[in-house]
Amino acid sequence: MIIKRPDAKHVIEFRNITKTFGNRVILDNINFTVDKQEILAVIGHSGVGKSTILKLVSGLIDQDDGEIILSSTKKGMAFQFAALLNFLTVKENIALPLRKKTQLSDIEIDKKVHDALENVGLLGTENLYPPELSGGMQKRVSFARAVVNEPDIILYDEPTSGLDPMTSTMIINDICHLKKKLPAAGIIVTHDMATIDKAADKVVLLYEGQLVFNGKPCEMKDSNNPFGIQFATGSCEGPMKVCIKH
Amino acid sequence: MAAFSKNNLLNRFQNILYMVGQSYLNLYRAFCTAFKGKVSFKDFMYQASVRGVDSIIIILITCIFIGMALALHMTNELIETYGAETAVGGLIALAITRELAPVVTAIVIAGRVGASITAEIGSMKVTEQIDALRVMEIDPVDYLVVPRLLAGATITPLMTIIATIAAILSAMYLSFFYKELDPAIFLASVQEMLNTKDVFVSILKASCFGILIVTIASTFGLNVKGGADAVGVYTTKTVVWSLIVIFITNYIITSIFYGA
Repeated sequence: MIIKRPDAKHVIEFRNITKTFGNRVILDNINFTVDKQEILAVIGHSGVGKSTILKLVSGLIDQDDGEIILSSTKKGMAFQFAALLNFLTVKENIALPLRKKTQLSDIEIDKKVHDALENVGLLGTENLYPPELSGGMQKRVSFARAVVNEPDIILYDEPTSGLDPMTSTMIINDICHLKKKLPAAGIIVTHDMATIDKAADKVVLLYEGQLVFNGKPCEMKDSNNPFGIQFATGSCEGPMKVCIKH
Repeated sequence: MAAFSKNNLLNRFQNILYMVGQSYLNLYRAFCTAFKGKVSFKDFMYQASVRGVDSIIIILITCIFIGMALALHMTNELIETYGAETAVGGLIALAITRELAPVVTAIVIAGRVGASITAEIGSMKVTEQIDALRVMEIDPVDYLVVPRLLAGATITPLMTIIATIAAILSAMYLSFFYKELDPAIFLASVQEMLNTKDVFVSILKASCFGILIVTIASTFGLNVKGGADAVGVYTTKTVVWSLIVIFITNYIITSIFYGA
């Protein structure tokens, strides 16, 4: 369960969060905070529970133990595979949260959709359907949909995975642009060091359900934390046993 | 033998109970939303037109041939054996209106519309589109199930009426060409034997079937777990369970109205 506390000190606060699936402990007593206009990158190897954190914040699943305190429940989420509704046009997809959750007029909605598309550089695609767009364009439409109702919390699930380096750079620029424009707290789940370096203010590294690094991106390589160093350098040698030795 | 082990059977029974409970909850929530008037008319019209167009040709073909096959049996038995040509039209119309048209229409809708609803919603589930709706605080039952449910409750009776007319007319024309039974005698017999109650029960059955098919299809779609292969598995389950429920419901309604 999420606790909404408008007067909370932080926009997002995880207090002693534990989550298990079956017998497997995915998150074990996890603590972190995210403040306004701050982006937290959640990193770790595949299956370590990064997306579980996003699902907990977004309310899609409940924790087994601990407290998630949010100062606002106005959230937007950009999904790993965009998750746009295929039977709606780009414009209808972006307008959906406004049509269902606000009393705005059609003219006001059109303006907000126009602004959101302009922010992600996709003006002119309003009447296209998601399958007519490339993967990168779909992700950017997903960003536009996530921020169109000006949320206080923005969640990004692997925003650059499966994209070419140029499109990845565009996506990272979009995130940085949105960060300046909206006073929201953000969480990015990613493996990509470029995304972390450019967009994140803080990093938490997960390993075997534990939070093994919590600091700034620049501290990962420079600190004495062997987990941070191993992830940042992509080394097979270190405390995290994720590589098969040949 | 593992398939019949105690644990396996218990798990299957639990799954069935879970799906029945989920279906009931979805149906209840959908009715609440529909009665509050929180339904997009545009979405409802879109669903009704798409689902109707999807199934009308198959229903027509199926019912025309069922009507003709029934006419072959009836004319052979009634005219040649008993010389009761004035009863042919009426008995065919009764069989079609009371049982065949609503059940056959429902079977076609379960295979065509029910399967497509599960595949559609199931694909949305595995591609996180349902999660996206939940994050936007849009209830998937309100947004996806309700327009489909209303469409199912509307088009199934409509299709049943069309199927009934098509089957009776095809039986009439076959009786005329095969045994030279005068269409006027055929229609007079229909008028004499078929009453308002039969038509009412037929429409009632069709409405119930439509609602149940969409509820089962949506519930299976929303419960798809896994990848694309799971969508196929749940689509098959939708058709199987819809058929079972159609036959059980058909018996219950028939026994209520004609049992005494």
